[in-house]
Amino acid sequence: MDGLEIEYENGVMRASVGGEVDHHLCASVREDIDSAFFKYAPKKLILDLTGMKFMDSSGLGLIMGRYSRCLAAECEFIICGVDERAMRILRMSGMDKVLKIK
Amino acid sequence: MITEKKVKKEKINEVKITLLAVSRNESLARAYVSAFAAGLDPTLDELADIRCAVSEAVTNCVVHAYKGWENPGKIYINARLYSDRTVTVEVSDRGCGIENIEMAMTPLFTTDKEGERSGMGFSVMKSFTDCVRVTSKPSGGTRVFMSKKFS
Ligand SMILES: Nc1ncnc2c1ncn2[C@@H]1O[C@H](COP(=O)(O)OP(=O)(O)OP(=O)(O)O)[C@@H](O)[C@H]1O
Ligand SMILES: [Mg+2]
Repeated sequence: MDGLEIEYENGVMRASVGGEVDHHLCASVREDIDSAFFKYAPKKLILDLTGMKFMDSSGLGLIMGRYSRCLAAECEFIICGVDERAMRILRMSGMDKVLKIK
Repeated sequence: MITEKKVKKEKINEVKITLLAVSRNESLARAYVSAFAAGLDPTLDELADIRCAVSEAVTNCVVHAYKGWENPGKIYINARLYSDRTVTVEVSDRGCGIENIEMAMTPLFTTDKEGERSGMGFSVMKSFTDCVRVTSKPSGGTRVFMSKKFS
């Protein structure tokens, strides 16, 4: 699925982002994730990138931004479905060392 | 005596693309350049490298170059293929320019903290291509030149 899908159950919010995760997509996805985040105030946020076909540094910005939101709200933050290319970008920034990646 | 056979590097193709600096053109720029570079039969990984590097340069034109302008400016892309299996891509704008290029190219440096930027764009370009050269003139614009030789 391209774009964003949000599910919430028992304190766990899952945001699945698919398609080309660039600046254009991130601008809208970020707002929608954040408004759901404030509505549900989850204990755990899972950013699921399984459906991602492309990511550049804008996607990294999206991940870093959600990470700091969660840190401030004392919410656990997990990302999953990261492919090898996205992993390279995460490593470049050092974010691979602070994130919970599954 | 060893005689070196000189392989002359010849230009085999070239395209120029002008795009409005709006975010919906980021994917279009990636698609154009990767379709063009596919002419050298690169591996899928090599093509993905080019796609990502181009995305970074083009996104910078959209995000930074014309920031605060009433109407978006333009992005100028010039891509070339050479007979030694090199692709070069130049991405230019006529926007605000970069005051300190060295600082701008430092990993994690960004002037756009509110925009949730990671400051890794130039680092990605450097890591995914063989060579990145940036020239810029404050209020004149910026030109990013990248080249990559395919296996
Ligand atoms: N075309 C441009 N015109 C004007 N300034 C630019 C341009 N490209 C880059 N810059 C400046 O260089 C800085 C670093 O660029 P870089 O792409 O590395 O990071 P970023 O765009 O800030 O964040 P990210 O690319 O990770 O989203 C930018 O914050 C901006 O100040
Ligand atoms: Mg950038």
